[in-house]
Amino acid sequence: MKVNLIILFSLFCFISSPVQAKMDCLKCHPDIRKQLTSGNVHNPLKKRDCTVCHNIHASDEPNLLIEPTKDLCLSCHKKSFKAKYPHLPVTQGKCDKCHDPHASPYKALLKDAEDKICFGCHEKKELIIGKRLHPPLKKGCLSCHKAHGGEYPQLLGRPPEKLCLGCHQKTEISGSHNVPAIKGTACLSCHSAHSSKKPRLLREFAHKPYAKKQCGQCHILEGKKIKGIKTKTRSLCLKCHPMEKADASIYSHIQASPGTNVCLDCHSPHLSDKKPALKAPVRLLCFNCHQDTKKQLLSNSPDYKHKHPEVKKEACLECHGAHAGNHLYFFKDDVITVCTGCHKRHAKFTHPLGEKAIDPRCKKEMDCVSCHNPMGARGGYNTIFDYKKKLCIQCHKIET
Amino acid sequence: MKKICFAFSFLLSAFSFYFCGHAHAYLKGELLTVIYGEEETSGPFNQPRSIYIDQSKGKIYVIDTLNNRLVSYDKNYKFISRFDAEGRLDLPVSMLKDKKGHLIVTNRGEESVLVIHLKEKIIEPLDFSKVFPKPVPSYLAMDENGRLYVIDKAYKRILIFSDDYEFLGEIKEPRAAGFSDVKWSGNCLYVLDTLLKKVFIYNNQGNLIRSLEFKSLGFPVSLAVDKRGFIYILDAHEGKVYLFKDNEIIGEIGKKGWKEGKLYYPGYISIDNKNTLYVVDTGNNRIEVFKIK
Repeated sequence: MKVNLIILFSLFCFISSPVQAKMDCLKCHPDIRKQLTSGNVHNPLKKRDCTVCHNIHASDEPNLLIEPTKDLCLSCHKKSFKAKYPHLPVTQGKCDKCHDPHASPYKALLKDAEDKICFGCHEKKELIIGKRLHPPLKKGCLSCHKAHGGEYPQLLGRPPEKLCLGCHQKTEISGSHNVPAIKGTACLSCHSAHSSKKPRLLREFAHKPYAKKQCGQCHILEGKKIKGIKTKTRSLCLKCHPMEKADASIYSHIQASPGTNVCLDCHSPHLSDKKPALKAPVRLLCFNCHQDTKKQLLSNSPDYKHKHPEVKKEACLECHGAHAGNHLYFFKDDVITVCTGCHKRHAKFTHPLGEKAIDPRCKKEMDCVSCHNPMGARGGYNTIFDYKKKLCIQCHKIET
Repeated sequence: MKKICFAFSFLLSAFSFYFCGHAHAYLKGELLTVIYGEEETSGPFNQPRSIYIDQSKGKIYVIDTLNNRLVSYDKNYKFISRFDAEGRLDLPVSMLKDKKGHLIVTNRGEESVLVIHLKEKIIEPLDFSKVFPKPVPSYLAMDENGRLYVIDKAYKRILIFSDDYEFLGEIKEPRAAGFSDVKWSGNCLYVLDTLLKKVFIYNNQGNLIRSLEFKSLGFPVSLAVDKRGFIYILDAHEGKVYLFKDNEIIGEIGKKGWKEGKLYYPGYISIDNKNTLYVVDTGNNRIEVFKIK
């Protein structure tokens, strides 16, 4: 009896043993076999040791991986990816977004040519907006950006000004600017790092005083030389752009700022590529402060699975105000007005809303967000609860 | 057999220690009541933005912002009256009572702070003529000596007024992004910075004692401090109140939602000296009252 048990136990170990699984997986996976001629082959595949990554029987992970992608890759590639500004696929553990785990004709097992990989996620039309290209672009995105993460915003490996000065001589810059252009000046407030329609990669739209060379409107001048700024706070901007109602509103964006002038958190005082004088696409500006919202939108959690299309496009200002308001959620108007602005059919045909329908859970008038969460929800149609099962019974008791 | 029992007990203890020791102990908060603006009395609230607890008189004042009024309740949460200063209130967001019984109200719509003498029926704005640049007043706090602290939302400072409303000076904080709430407790001024997720703590001379950072929070909008010096922070996006000892979470209360006991984009919290926590559940147009143990 004891001998039989020992034999059975040994057989069990043998069957489970990865050693036994060094069989020719490529017999059934010819698509992987084809990749062997790609040029760069991942070591485990070279050694035909598929079980380094895959379980040949069963797994909770897709593609029968033995572990989640991130943990699996890091078990061998023990690089530290702890940058201050990590690349999103790295934080999400999606190494396979850029890298082919089997083989590739490209270095570092990239799935495609470097620039094609980047433009797979980063909209080319947002970056290449004109015929004039910054020469480093021809060398590839990694001439300035770090693929896994950088110590500076936008995944830069060096501070922006030092990066620029790496190629552009100080003397060349001082000569062509009327300002102390080196010390603390952000080159990118006037120049695009990628492309432009204008010479010297200047951004397209100009702040009026800048366009009319009326530097003295904002700056302290000594002759023709700029010595400083008249006022460091928002008072400077509000002189020409008064926003009387913004401070007298419940919610206001023109107050708190990590910097000294809140207006400059979003707007460029010189040149910009986006009207009205925005420094960057809206979503990037919003996410600078609303980090928790960004985290939620980028989350893979089933709680936020279904998102409104405008949210997916990160078009925050379709629903939310930019400067100030009195509506909850910083909406441009009351919820029903905002939603039915696009969902016109539901203005006429919908579950009772408003005064006719009081939410029994909170005794408040129902509106669209009583059931829907456009920022992300579990249920289809952005319903907070599954509309097939749980949504209605939140309020309607079932009579038995 | 004995060895097996011992091993099992040890494993069970280790399991309990690990999970219970590491999980956030829920604040033991019992929902005492929910204050709605009832149709028969005050009518529904409309985005209430704060609350004031008059501990000496056992009264509660709800600052019913979009309805431009204050609504008062007794210590049993029964409606007393509503007050709009004869139409003068315009988006009130914060309120206090001074030692003389005057109401101090931040009138956001006028960008002013009003001192309301109830008996004499006089309303005077706080004098900002010595304050430069012109402030955007927001939430209020008062110390035991009657000194008034006013958040200036636009210029990262706290304005200080004497008990007879003379401007005394300001606490400037260039390291902040901007202040969203202020409370006086235990001889210290606590000020919350939403964007930086920090609390700055000042002494009664206006000197910074220390600052605490709360990186794990989503969108902190209000704070309260209890008798023990523990800090409660309201996270509007999470719909939760977190209790901190220094900058470590030691408890939480609430969940995002609509049913009683849950919070939906809440805007303000206050705690009295009996450890009763008042949460202004702005998104649900109500006040939730919890007994904290």
